[in-house]
Amino acid sequence: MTPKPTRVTNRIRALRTERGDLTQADLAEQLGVTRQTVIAIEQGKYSPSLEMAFQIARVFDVPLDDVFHYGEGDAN
Amino acid sequence: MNGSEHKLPREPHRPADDEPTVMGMDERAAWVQIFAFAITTGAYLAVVIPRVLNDPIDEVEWVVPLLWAMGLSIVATILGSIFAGIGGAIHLTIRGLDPDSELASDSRDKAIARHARLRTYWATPVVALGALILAMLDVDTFWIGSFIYVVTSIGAIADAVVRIRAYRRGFVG
Repeated sequence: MTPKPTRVTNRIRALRTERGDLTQADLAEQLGVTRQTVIAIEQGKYSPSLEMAFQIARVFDVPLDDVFHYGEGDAN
Repeated sequence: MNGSEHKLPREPHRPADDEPTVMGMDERAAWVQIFAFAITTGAYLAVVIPRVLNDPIDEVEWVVPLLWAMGLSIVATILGSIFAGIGGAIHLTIRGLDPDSELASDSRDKAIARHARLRTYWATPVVALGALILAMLDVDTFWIGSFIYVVTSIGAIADAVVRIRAYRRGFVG
């Protein structure tokens, strides 16, 4: 299995599930990015910029560290 | 028969979570860049190497093949990207997805392109320094021209490989 390139994990999928009505396409539209980028972020294949991270937290109306965590992982 | 029942292509629908998508335009362009530069550079070498082996170096005709290779690599990259985009748009339309949003570029594409430029920045100084050294050694212009073209092509291929790797394996900006 290819190691993930980042130690940053996120709860975006869980937060979307809690919201119930927010698809990846909806979130992508709100952030002004493509669905591929939202999928890459959820899968830990892409770390968004700090600005986008704050935008994501704002969409869910939660603090940044409720969305993103920095922990032990496979990062370089 | 009601015409709306068998409408092709389908009206775009809202993609479901994790619904498979297709490569974005930038990744397609990276693949095209690899093939365009590999094929044209290979063709250039296939034309000039037999001449180098058979003729005195100062009689080797290399300028016209080099101009053809450069021109074709540019044209192939542009046309290849256009056709790759059209192919993706047709594929998405048949699947009922909106090509505009699925193929669009965004900040991640820009970050990946910037990352690839930084990773392959070595090509520019290698070309400059190599050409300078060859000129100082007073070698035939064939070697200087060919060196510049081949290393520039390798740099373009490396740039595309780094981009594709970032798309496939993930990327931290």
